[in-house]
Amino acid sequence: MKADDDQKRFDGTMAAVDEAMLAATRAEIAEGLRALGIDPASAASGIRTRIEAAVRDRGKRLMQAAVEQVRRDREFKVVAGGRSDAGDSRAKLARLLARPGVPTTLAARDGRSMSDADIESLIQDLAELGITEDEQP
Amino acid sequence: MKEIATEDEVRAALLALGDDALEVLTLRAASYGRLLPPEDVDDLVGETLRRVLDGCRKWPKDVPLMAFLLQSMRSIAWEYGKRNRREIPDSRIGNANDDEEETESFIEAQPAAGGNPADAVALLRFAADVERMFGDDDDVMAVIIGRVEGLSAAETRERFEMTPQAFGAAQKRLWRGVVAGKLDGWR
Repeated sequence: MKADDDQKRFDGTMAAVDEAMLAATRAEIAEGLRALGIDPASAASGIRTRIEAAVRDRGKRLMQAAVEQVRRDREFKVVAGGRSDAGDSRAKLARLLARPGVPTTLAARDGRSMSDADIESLIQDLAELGITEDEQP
Repeated sequence: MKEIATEDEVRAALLALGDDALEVLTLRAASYGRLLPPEDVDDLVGETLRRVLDGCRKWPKDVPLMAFLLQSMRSIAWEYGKRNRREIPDSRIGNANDDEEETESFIEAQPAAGGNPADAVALLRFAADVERMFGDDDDVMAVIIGRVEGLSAAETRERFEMTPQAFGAAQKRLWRGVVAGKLDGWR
Protein backbone atom coordinates (compact mmCIF):
# COMPACT_ATOMS: atom_id res chain seq x y z
CA MET A 1 0.00 0.00 0.00
CA LYS A 2 1.16 3.49 -0.75
CA ALA A 3 0.73 4.79 2.79
CA ASP A 4 2.95 1.96 4.05
CA ASP A 5 5.53 2.73 1.38
CA ASP A 6 5.49 6.41 2.35
CA GLN A 7 6.05 5.55 5.99
CA LYS A 8 8.81 3.09 5.13
CA ARG A 9 10.52 5.70 3.00
CA PHE A 10 10.18 8.33 5.72
CA ASP A 11 11.39 5.95 8.40
CA GLY A 12 14.36 4.77 6.35
CA THR A 13 15.42 8.29 5.39
CA MET A 14 15.00 9.58 8.92
CA ALA A 15 16.84 6.54 10.28
CA ALA A 16 19.75 7.33 7.97
CA VAL A 17 19.86 10.83 9.47
CA ASP A 18 19.58 9.44 13.01
CA GLU A 19 22.40 6.99 12.47
CA ALA A 20 24.52 9.70 10.88
CA MET A 21 24.04 11.85 13.98
CA LEU A 22 24.87 8.95 16.25
CA ALA A 23 28.12 8.52 14.32
CA ALA A 24 29.06 12.19 14.73
CA THR A 25 31.64 13.39 17.20
CA ARG A 26 30.59 15.43 20.21
CA ALA A 27 32.22 18.51 18.68
CA GLU A 28 30.21 18.03 15.51
CA ILE A 29 26.99 17.68 17.49
CA ALA A 30 27.84 20.88 19.34
CA GLU A 31 28.31 22.57 15.99
CA GLY A 32 24.87 21.31 14.90
CA LEU A 33 23.28 22.59 18.09
CA ARG A 34 24.80 26.01 17.57
CA ALA A 35 23.45 26.01 14.00
CA LEU A 36 19.98 25.67 15.49
CA GLY A 37 20.64 28.41 18.03
CA ILE A 38 21.03 26.04 20.98
CA ASP A 39 23.81 26.49 23.50
CA PRO A 40 25.62 23.13 23.62
CA ALA A 41 26.54 23.73 27.26
CA SER A 42 22.92 23.81 28.36
CA ALA A 43 21.55 21.20 25.93
CA ALA A 44 22.23 18.18 28.11
CA SER A 45 20.86 19.70 31.30
CA GLY A 46 17.66 20.75 29.55
CA ILE A 47 16.77 17.29 28.34
CA ARG A 48 17.98 15.65 31.54
CA THR A 49 15.46 17.78 33.40
CA ARG A 50 12.75 16.52 31.06
CA ILE A 51 13.76 12.91 31.58
CA GLU A 52 13.70 13.33 35.35
CA ALA A 53 10.30 14.99 35.15
CA ALA A 54 8.98 12.16 32.96
CA VAL A 55 10.27 9.59 35.45
CA ARG A 56 8.59 11.43 38.35
CA ASP A 57 5.39 11.72 36.36
CA ARG A 58 5.40 8.01 35.64
CA GLY A 59 5.91 7.33 39.37
CA LYS A 60 2.93 9.51 40.23
CA ARG A 61 0.73 7.77 37.70
CA LEU A 62 1.77 4.38 39.04
CA MET A 63 1.04 5.51 42.56
CA GLN A 64 -2.38 6.83 41.61
CA ALA A 65 -3.16 3.58 39.84
CA ALA A 66 -1.99 1.57 42.87
CA VAL A 67 -4.07 3.66 45.23
CA GLU A 68 -7.12 3.26 43.01
CA GLN A 69 -6.58 -0.46 42.78
CA VAL A 70 -6.28 -0.86 46.52
CA ARG A 71 -9.35 1.30 47.00
CA ARG A 72 -11.31 -0.93 44.65
CA ASP A 73 -9.97 -4.06 46.30
CA ARG A 74 -11.00 -2.81 49.74
CA GLU A 75 -14.62 -2.73 48.68
CA PHE A 76 -14.46 -6.51 48.67
CA LYS A 77 -12.41 -7.06 51.76
CA VAL A 78 -13.01 -6.92 55.46
CA VAL A 79 -10.07 -5.14 56.97
CA ALA A 80 -9.13 -6.58 60.32
CA GLY A 81 -8.23 -4.27 63.21
CA GLY A 82 -9.13 -0.67 63.91
CA ARG A 83 -7.97 2.39 62.06
CA SER A 84 -4.88 3.97 63.46
CA ASP A 85 -4.83 7.72 63.83
CA ALA A 86 -3.54 9.86 60.95
CA GLY A 87 -0.25 10.90 62.59
CA ASP A 88 0.65 7.33 63.45
CA SER A 89 -0.18 6.19 59.94
CA ARG A 90 2.06 8.77 58.31
CA ALA A 91 4.92 7.84 60.59
CA LYS A 92 4.32 4.17 59.90
CA LEU A 93 4.27 4.80 56.14
CA ALA A 94 7.52 6.73 56.36
CA ARG A 95 9.14 3.82 58.21
CA LEU A 96 7.83 1.30 55.71
CA LEU A 97 8.97 3.32 52.70
CA ALA A 98 12.44 3.56 54.19
CA ARG A 99 12.76 -0.21 54.29
CA PRO A 100 14.88 -2.04 51.75
CA GLY A 101 13.03 -3.70 48.90
CA VAL A 102 10.38 -1.02 48.53
CA PRO A 103 9.84 -0.34 44.80
CA THR A 104 11.56 2.91 43.87
CA THR A 105 8.36 4.40 42.48
CA LEU A 106 6.71 3.91 45.87
CA ALA A 107 9.71 5.00 47.89
CA ALA A 108 9.75 8.27 45.96
CA ARG A 109 6.54 9.24 47.79
CA ASP A 110 6.89 10.56 51.28
CA GLY A 111 3.19 10.69 52.07
CA ARG A 112 3.08 14.40 52.76
CA SER A 113 0.86 15.17 49.77
CA MET A 114 -1.46 12.20 50.35
CA SER A 115 -4.80 12.09 52.08
CA ASP A 116 -5.29 9.98 55.21
CA ALA A 117 -7.28 7.48 53.18
CA ASP A 118 -4.47 7.24 50.63
CA ILE A 119 -1.97 6.66 53.43
CA GLU A 120 -4.05 3.79 54.77
CA SER A 121 -4.46 2.37 51.31
CA LEU A 122 -0.77 2.51 50.59
CA ILE A 123 0.10 0.83 53.90
CA GLN A 124 -2.28 -1.95 52.98
CA ASP A 125 -0.81 -2.09 49.49
CA LEU A 126 2.68 -2.46 50.94
CA ALA A 127 1.42 -5.18 53.26
CA GLU A 128 0.18 -7.10 50.25
CA LEU A 129 3.70 -6.83 48.87
CA GLY A 130 4.95 -8.34 52.11
CA ILE A 131 6.35 -5.05 53.41
CA THR A 132 5.17 -4.69 57.00
CA GLU A 133 6.69 -3.71 60.30
CA ASP A 134 6.33 -7.32 61.39
CA GLU A 135 8.91 -8.37 58.80
CA GLN A 136 12.62 -8.01 59.34
CA PRO A 137 14.12 -5.55 56.80
CA MET B 1 12.38 -14.23 21.34
CA LYS B 2 13.82 -10.81 22.05
CA GLU B 3 14.37 -9.88 25.66
CA ILE B 4 12.48 -6.74 26.61
CA ALA B 5 13.81 -4.35 29.24
CA THR B 6 11.78 -4.01 32.41
CA GLU B 7 10.39 -0.67 33.48
CA ASP B 8 13.07 -0.33 36.15
CA GLU B 9 15.76 -1.03 33.57
CA VAL B 10 14.34 1.54 31.17
CA ARG B 11 14.16 4.15 33.90
CA ALA B 12 17.67 3.47 35.10
CA ALA B 13 19.08 3.54 31.57
CA LEU B 14 17.37 6.82 30.77
CA LEU B 15 18.62 8.44 33.94
CA ALA B 16 22.13 7.16 33.25
CA LEU B 17 22.41 8.69 29.77
CA GLY B 18 25.55 10.79 29.53
CA ASP B 19 25.79 14.38 28.38
CA ASP B 20 27.02 13.36 24.95
CA ALA B 21 23.94 11.21 24.36
CA LEU B 22 21.65 13.91 25.72
CA GLU B 23 23.19 16.44 23.34
CA VAL B 24 22.42 14.13 20.41
CA LEU B 25 18.84 13.76 21.64
CA THR B 26 18.52 17.52 21.91
CA LEU B 27 19.85 18.06 18.41
CA ARG B 28 17.61 15.37 17.01
CA ALA B 29 14.52 16.74 18.68
CA ALA B 30 15.35 20.29 17.64
CA SER B 31 15.93 19.28 14.05
CA TYR B 32 12.35 18.00 13.93
CA GLY B 33 11.54 21.67 14.34
CA ARG B 34 12.26 21.98 10.61
CA LEU B 35 9.30 19.72 9.96
CA LEU B 36 6.79 20.11 12.76
CA PRO B 37 5.12 23.04 14.55
CA PRO B 38 6.96 24.08 17.75
CA GLU B 39 4.27 22.64 20.02
CA ASP B 40 4.60 19.27 18.31
CA VAL B 41 8.37 19.28 18.74
CA ASP B 42 7.94 19.88 22.45
CA ASP B 43 5.31 17.15 22.66
CA LEU B 44 7.50 14.82 20.64
CA VAL B 45 10.12 14.63 23.37
CA GLY B 46 7.60 14.27 26.18
CA GLU B 47 5.51 11.71 24.34
CA THR B 48 8.58 9.66 23.43
CA LEU B 49 9.70 9.57 27.05
CA ARG B 50 6.19 8.76 28.25
CA ARG B 51 5.69 5.85 25.87
CA VAL B 52 9.12 4.44 26.58
CA LEU B 53 8.70 4.72 30.34
CA ASP B 54 5.22 3.26 30.52
CA GLY B 55 6.04 0.40 28.18
CA CYS B 56 3.83 1.44 25.27
CA ARG B 57 7.03 1.19 23.30
CA LYS B 58 9.04 -1.79 24.42
CA TRP B 59 12.82 -1.61 24.45
CA PRO B 60 14.45 -4.79 23.11
CA LYS B 61 17.62 -5.13 25.15
CA ASP B 62 19.74 -5.96 22.13
CA VAL B 63 19.02 -2.52 20.64
CA PRO B 64 21.11 0.38 21.94
CA LEU B 65 18.96 2.75 23.98
CA MET B 66 19.76 5.77 21.82
CA ALA B 67 18.80 3.94 18.64
CA PHE B 68 15.58 2.85 20.32
CA LEU B 69 14.75 6.39 21.48
CA LEU B 70 15.38 7.86 18.05
CA GLN B 71 13.32 5.12 16.45
CA SER B 72 10.46 5.89 18.84
CA MET B 73 10.76 9.57 18.04
CA ARG B 74 10.53 8.85 14.30
CA SER B 75 7.42 6.78 14.74
CA ILE B 76 5.67 9.39 16.87
CA ALA B 77 6.74 12.20 14.52
CA TRP B 78 5.14 10.31 11.65
CA GLU B 79 1.90 10.08 13.65
CA TYR B 80 2.01 13.84 14.19
CA GLY B 81 2.63 14.45 10.51
CA LYS B 82 -0.35 12.31 9.56
CA ARG B 83 -2.53 14.00 12.15
CA ASN B 84 -1.50 17.46 10.96
CA ARG B 85 -2.31 16.54 7.39
CA ARG B 86 -5.77 15.37 8.43
CA GLU B 87 -6.38 18.62 10.29
CA ILE B 88 -5.93 20.90 7.30
CA PRO B 89 -8.35 21.07 4.40
CA ASP B 90 -7.06 19.41 1.23
CA SER B 91 -7.59 22.70 -0.56
CA ARG B 92 -4.90 24.27 1.60
CA ILE B 93 -2.36 21.75 0.46
CA GLY B 94 -3.36 22.19 -3.14
CA ASN B 95 -5.70 19.30 -3.75
CA ALA B 96 -9.45 19.54 -3.60
CA ASN B 97 -9.81 15.83 -4.18
CA ASP B 98 -10.88 14.00 -1.07
CA ASP B 99 -9.24 10.77 -2.09
CA GLU B 100 -6.58 9.93 0.49
CA GLU B 101 -4.21 8.22 -1.90
CA GLU B 102 -4.35 10.92 -4.53
CA THR B 103 -3.83 13.60 -1.89
CA GLU B 104 -0.77 11.86 -0.56
CA SER B 105 0.58 11.44 -4.07
CA PHE B 106 0.16 15.14 -4.56
CA ILE B 107 2.13 15.86 -1.43
CA GLU B 108 4.96 13.78 -2.72
CA ALA B 109 4.84 15.08 -6.25
CA GLN B 110 4.49 18.77 -5.44
CA PRO B 111 6.58 19.19 -2.34
CA ALA B 112 7.78 22.73 -2.60
CA ALA B 113 4.98 24.39 -4.47
CA GLY B 114 4.19 27.72 -2.91
CA GLY B 115 6.09 27.04 0.28
CA ASN B 116 3.13 27.90 2.41
CA PRO B 117 1.06 26.21 3.84
CA ALA B 118 3.32 23.32 2.91
CA ASP B 119 4.65 23.48 6.50
CA ALA B 120 1.70 21.43 7.60
CA VAL B 121 2.86 18.49 5.52
CA ALA B 122 6.60 19.09 5.56
CA LEU B 123 7.22 16.01 7.63
CA LEU B 124 5.30 13.77 5.24
CA ARG B 125 7.38 15.11 2.37
CA PHE B 126 10.64 14.76 4.25
CA ALA B 127 11.99 11.82 2.25
CA ALA B 128 11.19 13.45 -1.08
CA ASP B 129 12.73 16.74 0.03
CA VAL B 130 15.92 15.08 1.23
CA GLU B 131 16.21 13.13 -2.00
CA ARG B 132 15.85 16.36 -3.91
CA MET B 133 18.41 18.08 -1.71
CA PHE B 134 20.97 15.33 -2.23
CA GLY B 135 19.90 14.10 -5.64
CA ASP B 136 23.33 14.89 -7.11
CA ASP B 137 25.29 13.35 -4.25
CA ASP B 138 25.58 9.64 -5.04
CA ASP B 139 27.22 8.75 -1.75
CA VAL B 140 24.53 10.40 0.38
CA MET B 141 21.85 8.79 -1.74
CA ALA B 142 23.56 5.44 -1.19
CA VAL B 143 23.43 5.97 2.58
CA ILE B 144 19.72 6.76 2.34
CA ILE B 145 18.80 3.99 -0.09
CA GLY B 146 20.72 1.45 1.94
CA ARG B 147 18.83 2.39 5.09
CA VAL B 148 15.43 2.49 3.38
CA GLU B 149 16.13 -1.01 2.10
CA GLY B 150 17.13 -2.17 5.56
CA LEU B 151 20.80 -2.74 4.84
CA SER B 152 23.45 -2.40 7.51
CA ALA B 153 26.22 0.15 7.03
CA ALA B 154 28.60 -2.60 5.96
CA GLU B 155 26.10 -4.00 3.47
CA THR B 156 25.48 -0.53 2.06
CA ARG B 157 29.20 0.11 1.64
CA GLU B 158 29.63 -3.21 -0.09
CA ARG B 159 26.67 -2.77 -2.40
CA PHE B 160 27.63 0.74 -3.43
CA GLU B 161 31.38 0.09 -3.32
CA MET B 162 32.07 2.79 -0.79
CA THR B 163 35.05 3.10 1.49
CA PRO B 164 34.33 3.59 5.19
CA GLN B 165 35.71 7.11 4.83
CA ALA B 166 33.37 7.94 1.96
CA PHE B 167 30.45 6.46 3.89
CA GLY B 168 31.29 8.49 7.00
CA ALA B 169 31.73 11.68 4.99
CA ALA B 170 28.36 11.10 3.30
CA GLN B 171 26.69 10.59 6.69
CA LYS B 172 28.09 13.94 7.82
CA ARG B 173 26.82 15.73 4.74
CA LEU B 174 23.42 14.13 5.26
CA TRP B 175 22.78 15.16 8.85
CA ARG B 176 24.38 18.57 8.45
CA GLY B 177 22.26 19.19 5.38
CA VAL B 178 19.11 18.22 7.23
CA VAL B 179 19.96 20.43 10.20
CA ALA B 180 20.86 23.37 7.98
CA GLY B 181 18.26 22.65 5.29
CA LYS B 182 15.86 25.39 4.39
CA LEU B 183 13.69 23.89 1.73
CA ASP B 184 10.31 25.41 1.09
CA GLY B 185 8.05 24.40 3.91
CA TRP B 186 10.93 23.66 6.26
CA ARG B 187 11.18 26.04 9.13
